Amino acid sequence: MSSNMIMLKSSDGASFEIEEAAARKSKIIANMIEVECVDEDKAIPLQNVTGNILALVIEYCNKHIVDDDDDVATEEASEEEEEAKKKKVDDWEAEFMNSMSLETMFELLLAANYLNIKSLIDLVCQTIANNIKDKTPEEVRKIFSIENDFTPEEEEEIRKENAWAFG
Amino acid sequence: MGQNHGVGSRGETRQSSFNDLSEYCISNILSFTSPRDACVVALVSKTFKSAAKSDIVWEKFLPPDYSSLVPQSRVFSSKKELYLALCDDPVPMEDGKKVHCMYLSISFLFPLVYMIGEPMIKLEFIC
Repeated sequence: MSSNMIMLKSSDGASFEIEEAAARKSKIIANMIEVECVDEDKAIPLQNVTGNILALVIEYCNKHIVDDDDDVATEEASEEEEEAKKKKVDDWEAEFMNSMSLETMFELLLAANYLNIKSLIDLVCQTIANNIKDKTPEEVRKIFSIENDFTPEEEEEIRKENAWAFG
Repeated sequence: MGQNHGVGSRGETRQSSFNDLSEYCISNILSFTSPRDACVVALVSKTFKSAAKSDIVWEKFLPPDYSSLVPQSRVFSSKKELYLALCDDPVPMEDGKKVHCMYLSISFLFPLVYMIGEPMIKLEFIC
């Protein structure tokens, strides 16, 4: 497979080399490749993504481009092989997400949204959602450092509206 | 684009927080929880309340073929209202052939199973 490399540049000026096929996982980058949107260093500038977050995005895209290649190579794979492969990807994704703080997850989600990488958006949303499941409003506020901006009357109103959920 | 994406002038020096996420992002996150969670977190803050009632969230909780479960004569103002109506008021339908079970909700408080079997579709609670 030919490796057509391109250069991406983060908002803080860090440059990253990446295979074009991996970069195309981002619809925004794919569009920028089409219209040859490059700066004076022949790099695609990404104004809204810092270097540390772009490194994570690239790690994710590289990992998944390898998996996509595998799909082609093992078209005849048995069900068990498929399952084993899926488990490998799931394990990798779990470890990938496990390695970062909530703050980094927020930044990664913003970057994935901006770059329009659907599978990465879903992965990050799912991981953040796991921190919300079965928690009380107080616990959610604490985990995410969110201030309660309701009056007691407003709170009561919401409790009434969704009474079944608080049962 | 052009919004504040939670990225400071130097990425490493400023930490992002939940407050940097748009309401759309929060809705997207909540769509990966459960109907019960989406109602409970409405109490977290005004932004959460607004995000939690979005159709983005409730569309995900509905079965993929939900439009066939709703009589055309009924109009709903939101997907949440539609979801709760389906839970409260089972709608008998024609044209079901194979037996098919599905949990609409992961929440143990509100498990709803709909079955397509025999001549009618039955919606029922198992509480």
